[in-house]
Amino acid sequence: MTLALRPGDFPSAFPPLYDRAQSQEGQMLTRAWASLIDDRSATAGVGQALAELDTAAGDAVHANWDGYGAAAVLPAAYFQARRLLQLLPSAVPAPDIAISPKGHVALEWHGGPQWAFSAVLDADRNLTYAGLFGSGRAHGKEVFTDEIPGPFVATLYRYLTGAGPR
Amino acid sequence: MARFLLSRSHFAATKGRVKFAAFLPGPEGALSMYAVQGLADPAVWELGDRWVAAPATRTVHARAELESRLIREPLRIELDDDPPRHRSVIGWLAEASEQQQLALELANAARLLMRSA
Repeated sequence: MTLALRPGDFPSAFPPLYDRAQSQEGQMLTRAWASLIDDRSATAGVGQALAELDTAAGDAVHANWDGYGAAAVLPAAYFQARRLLQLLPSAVPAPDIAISPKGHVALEWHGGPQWAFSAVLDADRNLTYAGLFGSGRAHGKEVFTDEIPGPFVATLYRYLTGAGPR
Repeated sequence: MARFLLSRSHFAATKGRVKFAAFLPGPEGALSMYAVQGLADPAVWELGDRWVAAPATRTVHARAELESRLIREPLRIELDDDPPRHRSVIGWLAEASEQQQLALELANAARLLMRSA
């Protein structure tokens, strides 16, 4: 698979998510950005992922939805996941989506045995990630606010471009 | 060892795969599973119905099975038999990303069994 973006390019490709613009021009840019996000949400892959997120969250609105004492899905985690899905480049396949026992949102890309990548978004803007890359492992934690964090992108890029099974 | 799945978001039926979120530890820091070795298939589902689904007023849609030998350090299995055949997988590392890594490995090694209609 060829990606149009290199990891180093990725974060700067997106303007801030949390807008602080005061000027008329800034507000125009904000509206243009919102329109772009709406258009992106309408594409097949993102639309499918957002629908899967809604289904998963809808199934976890009450505590103990998993039978093992799970917390209900946290609205802030849900919105963080929506934001991330809308910002991922179209070259990134739509992930599988689930809710974690703590009410966070879990995203998963699975390329085959021993080749997988995962992300969890919580209600405090933390983005934790972990990957299986054959005999290699990688995991970390970043704050997801204005930009998709670079180390997360680099590890996702490793998943997408590695020589592992698909 | 079996983990009963009550949420369809915890498995991908068309891909025959369990998602890693199904293996993340619960709010109390343990992963609940059941020892099912030696049980006939209907008895395994009955175990899930009685002790997992019924108290939550939910339905068991599938189960993830994992050989206990694949639960490795730092994780370990605690035999509490409360409810019967219940096991707690404990020893999870403190960092969320480390827990996520372990759950991803467990899911990767697990087998999905769907419940027939």
